[in-house]
Amino acid sequence: MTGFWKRFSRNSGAVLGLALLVLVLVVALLAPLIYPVSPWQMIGAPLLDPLEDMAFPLGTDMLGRDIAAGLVHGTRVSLLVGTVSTLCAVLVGVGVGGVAGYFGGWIDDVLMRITEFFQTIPQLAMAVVLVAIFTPSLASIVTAIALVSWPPVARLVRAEVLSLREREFVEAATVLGRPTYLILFDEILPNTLPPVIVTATLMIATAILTEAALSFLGLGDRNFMSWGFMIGAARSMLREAPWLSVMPGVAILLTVLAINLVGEGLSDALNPRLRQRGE
Amino acid sequence: MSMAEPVVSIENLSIALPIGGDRAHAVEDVSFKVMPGEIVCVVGESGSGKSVAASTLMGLLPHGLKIASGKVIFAGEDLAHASEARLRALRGREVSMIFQEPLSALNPLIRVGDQITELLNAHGAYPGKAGRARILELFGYVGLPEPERLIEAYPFQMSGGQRQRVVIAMALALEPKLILADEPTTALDVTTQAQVLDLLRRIRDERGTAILFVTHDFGVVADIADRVLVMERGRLVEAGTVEDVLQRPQHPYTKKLIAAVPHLDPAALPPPSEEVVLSVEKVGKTFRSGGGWFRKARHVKAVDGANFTVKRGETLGIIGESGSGKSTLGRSILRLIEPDAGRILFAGRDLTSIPRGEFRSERQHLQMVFQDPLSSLNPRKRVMTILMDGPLAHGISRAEAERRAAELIRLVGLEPAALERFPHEFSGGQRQRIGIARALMLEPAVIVADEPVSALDVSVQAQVLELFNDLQRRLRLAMVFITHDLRVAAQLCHSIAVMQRGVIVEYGPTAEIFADPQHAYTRQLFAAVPGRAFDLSRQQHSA
Amino acid sequence: MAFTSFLAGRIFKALLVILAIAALNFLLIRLAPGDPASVMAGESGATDPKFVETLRTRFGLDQPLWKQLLLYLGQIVQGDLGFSYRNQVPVIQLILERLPATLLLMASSFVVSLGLGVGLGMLSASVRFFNRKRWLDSLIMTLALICYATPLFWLALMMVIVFSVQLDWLPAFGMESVGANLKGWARISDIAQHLVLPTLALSLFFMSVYVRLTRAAMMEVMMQDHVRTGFAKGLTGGEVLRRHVFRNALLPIVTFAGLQLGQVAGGAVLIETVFAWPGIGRLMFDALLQRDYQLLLGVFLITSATVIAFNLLTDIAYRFVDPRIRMEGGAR
Repeated sequence: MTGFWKRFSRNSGAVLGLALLVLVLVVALLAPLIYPVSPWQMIGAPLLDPLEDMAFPLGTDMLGRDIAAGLVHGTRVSLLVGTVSTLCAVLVGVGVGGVAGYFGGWIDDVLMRITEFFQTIPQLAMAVVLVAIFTPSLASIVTAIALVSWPPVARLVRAEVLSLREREFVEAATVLGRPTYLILFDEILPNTLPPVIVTATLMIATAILTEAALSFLGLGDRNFMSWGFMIGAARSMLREAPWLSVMPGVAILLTVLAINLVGEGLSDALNPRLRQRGE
Repeated sequence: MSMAEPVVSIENLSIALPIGGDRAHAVEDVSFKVMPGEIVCVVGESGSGKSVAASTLMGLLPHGLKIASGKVIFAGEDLAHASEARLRALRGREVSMIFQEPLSALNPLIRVGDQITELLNAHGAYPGKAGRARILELFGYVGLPEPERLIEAYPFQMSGGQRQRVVIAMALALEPKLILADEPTTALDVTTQAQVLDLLRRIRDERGTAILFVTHDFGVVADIADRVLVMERGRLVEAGTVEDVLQRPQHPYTKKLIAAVPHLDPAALPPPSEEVVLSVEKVGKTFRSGGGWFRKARHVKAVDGANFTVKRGETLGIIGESGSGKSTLGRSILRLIEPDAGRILFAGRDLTSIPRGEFRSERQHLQMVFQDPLSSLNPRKRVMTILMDGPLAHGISRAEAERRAAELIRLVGLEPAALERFPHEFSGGQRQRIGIARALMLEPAVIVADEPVSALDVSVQAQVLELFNDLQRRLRLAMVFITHDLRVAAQLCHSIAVMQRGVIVEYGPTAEIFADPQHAYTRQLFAAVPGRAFDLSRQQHSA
Repeated sequence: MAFTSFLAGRIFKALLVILAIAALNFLLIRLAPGDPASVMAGESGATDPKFVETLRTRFGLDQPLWKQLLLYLGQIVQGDLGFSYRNQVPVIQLILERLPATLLLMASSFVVSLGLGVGLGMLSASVRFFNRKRWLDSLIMTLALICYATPLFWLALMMVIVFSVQLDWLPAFGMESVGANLKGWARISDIAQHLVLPTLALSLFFMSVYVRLTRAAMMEVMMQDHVRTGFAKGLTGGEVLRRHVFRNALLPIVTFAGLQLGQVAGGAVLIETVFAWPGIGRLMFDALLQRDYQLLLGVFLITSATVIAFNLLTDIAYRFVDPRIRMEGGAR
């Protein structure tokens, strides 16, 4: 574990990303304490410039909603959708990839055709269609994002399992008479974890971007304030109040950047050999 | 030749390792000369710095290594301080190189002819049509069949031996003064190895090219070297003519290495009992590959009609080159690969007739020791867990499994503290001992060992072979020992079965086959074993 | 000969995938909450009982499920993607009108992002290879990292703010100047000007993907033994890089370029929305606003089909890059 932290902290970008991510996380957790009033509430004069009224440090939108409150509450949706959808996608991906890789043969064929199928379909277009038809809600958004993002995990896990399956310790487990489920879950899958963790981190970032895009297109959950929605709403004000769309975008950019940086750090820390070869 | 100038002379060369390595220098204060028309072998185990010393001559040190001090004098010029442009002009023209792994040494996407043309062009030699003629001539010289066709081939379309001949042709293309050969036959089968060694000798004799030959194999040294340099942990510990070093080694390390080379005459082993434990009858396995919607599948008979029996206390060696089907046969016995013909009788019952689902409980009687000591242990588990997984899967109590683990870890020569450590904390030989302990945890009657010593350095190999013999004396197993190395088989096996292209071509007691091999292929294998002359002289010495 | 059978196999497979997407559409219609016909009518035709009735017969809602599926697939095969009530035209006609604009945007973005990405990725890997000017590598990788984290649609808006609103250099909306009625070269140059911002906005993200991919692929090849052979021949670093590194790194790039196309198509939906680009992405957005689900599904199907067609092309390209596959007639 100490070796892990040593390798992780050698990447200064990763440390910066982690600090940023912790900050975003804290903001998300404390959002109801920082801004107890709903961010949908029209509580100020419309279109206040940032710093114009210190009650609304980042200003207000065309309906007088507090931008700062929106940004703070937006972290919750972004992180929630990002992590939950990634978790679902990873579960599906590991399941499909693990089974396909381990059992091979026609099972592999069928599962991989399905995976390829989902991978060829334009992901965002499919997410849009899914959310639109099943009416926008947090659940449908999470489902849609999970449904379009599991294939890379499945392919990764399958490739890992295929190479691990050839490793002699897996043959050894078979020879020892260990049951199939233990060979898969105790011998093979734990060894696929490092690359899966790295990929999952990067997927959270992508999922946040996808959620923002859906909200931007008007497919967000209207019970929750989201950054994508704020940008979409500010579109008509590009000329009059460009900062309205600038700020939530910066929030997305920084959050996604932080997660990607952490992902790269994890990659360095979990695959030390790969890193050495890359040097 | 006595007054000739050396082709290269290395003086007090030290090469620094990056800070934080296990030692300060990869190569330390090494001096030697290579004369024209001479093959000098650099011998040592892994980590001895033998390859690093050789790559200095090309100015191609691995990343992170630097020349700390010393000279590399080539034709009166110190290459240690030569400019990159100067080195580039020498590479391929004056000094060229043959690599260990010919498949990866060639670019997979470029036709082999074009890869040699590239070398000619780089030095402005044989312009235009002359280039092709030169390559055809070289291909003919190195013994490639149908040069006209192979010049257009991609590396993946050739066999390993053909690829190595292409690499040698490339090295010869501009008639260099010196060829560096870094373990050039290690990746090849014995019969191919013998041919490549022949070719290198011919190059020395006919062209007067000096060859610096890096190897770990004393058999190869005995066959090819004029002079020998022995390296240990970056230092040159012994140098001399091949006769001196092999017959009258001075340094203890050299003595140890030479003593570790298994003798080619069969060892006296305790006789097996009469009780037949394992009996393989007409076992076959056919692989299908490449089938698709619009293509026909290819069928390869990996194993065809294999017959043999193994008695209690007997070690049977299955000998063959790569692709002979020996591993497939070994895995078929354990049903790691499902055989599609024949019967495998264990204690009188046909294992192949047991449904796959029920076979799991039979597995405790038949265990395996694997080739690669690193990949055969799960890197995420402690040795204790690795050893106990098997017994626990068969319902043996945890206490009993722990007792066996503690007992076996000592039996294979490791400290009990080893049980708490992870595989990466051990050396290759120690890992192989753990693998052997794991196989013994279930107290099996049959053990299949697939090339268990081929990944080990020669001195470690000797120790592990000794362990196998010791275990066999104590436990009286029925052992199937798969190997490509006749020397190893001679020390371990009561009987041997020689496989060629899926078929057992000769099967019988080791002593009989070694004394008088019947099948042409067996004779070919024996003829190809490196260092046979050396063995004869060793016998005379010990006699 | 091996090539024709390969091609036939691939085209057959592509058609199967398109049919499968149609079946997926059908599944979505059936799974949507509520009566399929009213769902499909959405808000656009909910007030018109006649239209809902047409939909009922179209989907054969009184028949068993498998017959409904066959009926639906049959209509798709005949090119009948349904009828847009709001626009009062068949869906397929709407889509075909808008498709060229999208293809133009996708193609230009693909070329720009691939060109920039592979170029910068090569540069980045090369400076590491020669161990010189490593700051350039850091700079490129930082740029790629930021582009990778930037939401496409937001970047598009920012470009509009900077280049159209503030600087007034380039047009921000549409594909052609309204009412200008230009002809010939004037028209082409007008379209080209309109194309600049959408293309850049869509390209930067994918550029970053290709930069990382190219760099990683090249660094992987640099570790391989045949690169050392190149040096041993006396080639210069540049020659080794050109002949033995870049060419071999091309394989994963080609494979990956194909896989990214689906994402480019998805990104086009967002970009077209921001720039009012008259393509099928914008059409999708309009369909969303109007709850015109037949149109939505139609656009989805055609977008997917476009991506599949592009993928087919990369598959063929791959065969020409890798002799191992070309010779053995196999596919991996």
